[in-house]
Amino acid sequence: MATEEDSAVKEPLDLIRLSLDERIYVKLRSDRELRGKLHAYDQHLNMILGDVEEVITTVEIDDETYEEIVKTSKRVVPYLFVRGDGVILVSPPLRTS
Amino acid sequence: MGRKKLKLRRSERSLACAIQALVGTELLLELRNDTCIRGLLDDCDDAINVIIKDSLIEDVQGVEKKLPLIFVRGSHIRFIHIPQSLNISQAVEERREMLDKAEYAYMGGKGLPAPKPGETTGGASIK
Repeated sequence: MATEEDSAVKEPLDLIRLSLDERIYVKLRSDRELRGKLHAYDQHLNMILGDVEEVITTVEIDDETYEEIVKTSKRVVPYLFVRGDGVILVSPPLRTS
Repeated sequence: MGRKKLKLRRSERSLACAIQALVGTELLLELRNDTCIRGLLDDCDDAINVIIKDSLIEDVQGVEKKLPLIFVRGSHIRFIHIPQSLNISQAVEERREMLDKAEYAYMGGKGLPAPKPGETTGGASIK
């Protein structure tokens, strides 16, 4: 929503600006990950994402064998506002998925 | 080249303006403690503290509560689910125009600063 857009990359937030309207990967606190299209962001890393897939990872420890069971749950949200204080990192989507 | 310094409202320096543009619509809030609140957004401030009307609260255990009026601290919010049918940028622009018009009207249409209480000259007056 900038009135005058500078195409030079001067600070880390400018790298996120390059990803506007692109699909991105966001790592959040509490073992959550989001993949979606970046519509808007601000200096707090509050973001508005479209067509978001959220993945929540939980690790359960078996009582008898003491092995770690990694579980993931997914859900899709059409349009989401993410509060910036939960964001850890932002990146172009990883090619493995 | 002279560049005009743009003085933005505090809400417009962050995405809080996007949430303020959604006032009056039904939203689903997801809090940091995994509680879900669905209700009508009544008000939102620059720190995204919100007031929700006619809310339905569901916590992690699945217990549901109906509360007519609640205040949620912005720092406690994790997600806000927005209806996809809404055009956010248009809503933000409309709100900005409305605020600009209101400021202009308050200054008596002359662009002067608002009169201090007690002053009689200049600006609009309520009779």
